[in-house]
Amino acid sequence: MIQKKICMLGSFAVGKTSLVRRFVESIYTDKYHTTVGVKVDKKVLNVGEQETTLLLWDLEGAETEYDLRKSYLRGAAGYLLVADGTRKDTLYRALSLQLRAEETLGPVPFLLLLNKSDLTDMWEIDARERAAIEQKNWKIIDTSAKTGHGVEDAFRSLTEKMMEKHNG
Amino acid sequence: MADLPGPIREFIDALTDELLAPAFMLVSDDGGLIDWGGALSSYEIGGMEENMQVGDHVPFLMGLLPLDSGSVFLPKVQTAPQVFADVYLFRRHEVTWILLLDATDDVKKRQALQQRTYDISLRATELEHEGRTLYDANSRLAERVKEQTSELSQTVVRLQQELAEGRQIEQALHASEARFRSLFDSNVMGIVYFDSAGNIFESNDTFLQLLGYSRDDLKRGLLTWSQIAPIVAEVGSSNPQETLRQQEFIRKDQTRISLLFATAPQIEAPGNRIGFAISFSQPKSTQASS
Repeated sequence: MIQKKICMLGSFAVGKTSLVRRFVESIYTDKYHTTVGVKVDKKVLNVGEQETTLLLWDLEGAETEYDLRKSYLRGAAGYLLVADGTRKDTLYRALSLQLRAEETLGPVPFLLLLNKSDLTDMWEIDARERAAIEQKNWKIIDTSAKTGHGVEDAFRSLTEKMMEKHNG
Repeated sequence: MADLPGPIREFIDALTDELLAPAFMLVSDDGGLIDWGGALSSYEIGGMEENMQVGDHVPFLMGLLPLDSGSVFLPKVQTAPQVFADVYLFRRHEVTWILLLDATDDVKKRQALQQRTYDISLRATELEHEGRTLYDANSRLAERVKEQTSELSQTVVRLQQELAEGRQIEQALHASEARFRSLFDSNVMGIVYFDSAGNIFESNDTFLQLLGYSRDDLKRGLLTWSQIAPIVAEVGSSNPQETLRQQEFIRKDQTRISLLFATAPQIEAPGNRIGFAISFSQPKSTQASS
C-alpha cells in the first residue's frame, strides 16, 4: 500500500477544510468553522492500477509564510494551494505560501485551486492574473466545495503527479 | 530541574498528569513500535501492538518517521473529534520518542477567539464588496442621471423653441384679428357671422344698415337668415372656396336689395361662417347718409 501525505495550504476561510470534507465524506456545510492546528484525514484513491492512501493534512489558515509551520509540511509528497476566488488577497498569500513550501519540501508536485467557483459573479481574480500564474507553468483548477465542482479532479490530478514522481 | 526538591518534582508531575495528560510512544528506526504508555486512550489512540508500524496506525505520524536527528514539534494536532495534542518527537539513543500533551483546552480558547476574528474579517470583506457594488451602482446611476439631464435639457430647449414659435403664431394671430377687427369696424363692407342653423349672432353696422335693422333688433334675435334670405335653400355654403356672387336679401321693411355677397368658414369656430356683403347699387357713403 502506497501512502502519500498532502498538505492543504492557504489563507483562512478559503475552503481548505470544506474541500477535504467534500472529497473524503462528500459533505458540505455553509457555516464557517475556523481550523486551529491541524486535522489529518485519510482517503484511498485508485490511480491507474495503484491503490494510494492519501493522508490529507488540513492546516489552519496561514496569513503569511511565517505562519506556516515547517514541521507540518515534513514528509509531504505534494500540496494543494487554495485561494478564494472572491478574495484577491488570498491569491497573493497562496503565492507566498508556495515559496515557503518549496523552500521546505523542494520541488514536489502542487496545484493551485481557485475555490468558490459557485460564486464566479463575485470573483476578484481575473483572466489577466490567471494568465500570469499559468505562465509559471502552474496548473490551476477551479473548485467549489459547495457543489463539488473540480474537487475530485483536483485531488486526483495531484495524486497522479505524485505517483508519476514516485514511479519515475 | 535537577536541583528541585523531591516534593516539588512530585507536585509538578502530578500537575502535568492532571492538566496535560501525557502519553508516549517509543519507535525504532524502522517505524516499529517498541513501547507505549501514559494517557494514550484520552487521545483515542488504542489497539497498540509491539512492532506494529506506527505510521500505519497513527496517521499524523506517517512520513515523519524515522526521525534522523533533532526534534519535531507538531502543535495542536487533532487526534479525535474535539481532542487535540501537542506532539513532540525527539531522538534519544537510536530510538524516537513521541510525546503527546493535551492541547484541547488551549485549542478551544484559541478557536473561539480566532473564529470571532475571522468572522469579523470576513464581514469586513463582505462590507467592502457591498461598498464597491454600491459605488458601482451609484456611478451607473449618476451616469444615467447625467444622460437624462442632458435629454431633459434638450427637451426644455425644444419646448422653449416651440413656445417661442407659439408666441409668434399667437402674436401673428392677434395682429391678424386686429387687422380684421379694424376692417369689421371700418364699415367698408357689411360683415355678418352666422351658424349652420341660420342664426345671425354678430354683424357690423354696415350690414345692419344695408338690411334696415338696428343693433337692438340683432340682440333680440329678429335678424335671422330665413327672414333676410328665404329663397336661399342653404345657409351659406360648405365650400370654403365660395366665390363672390350677387344675392338678393329682404330688408326689414320687406323691400328687396341686391348685394354682392360671399361667405367663408370661421376658422376658430368650425360650422360657423362669415358673410361679406357689398352694395353695388348704393355706395356706402350714400347709404350712410340716407
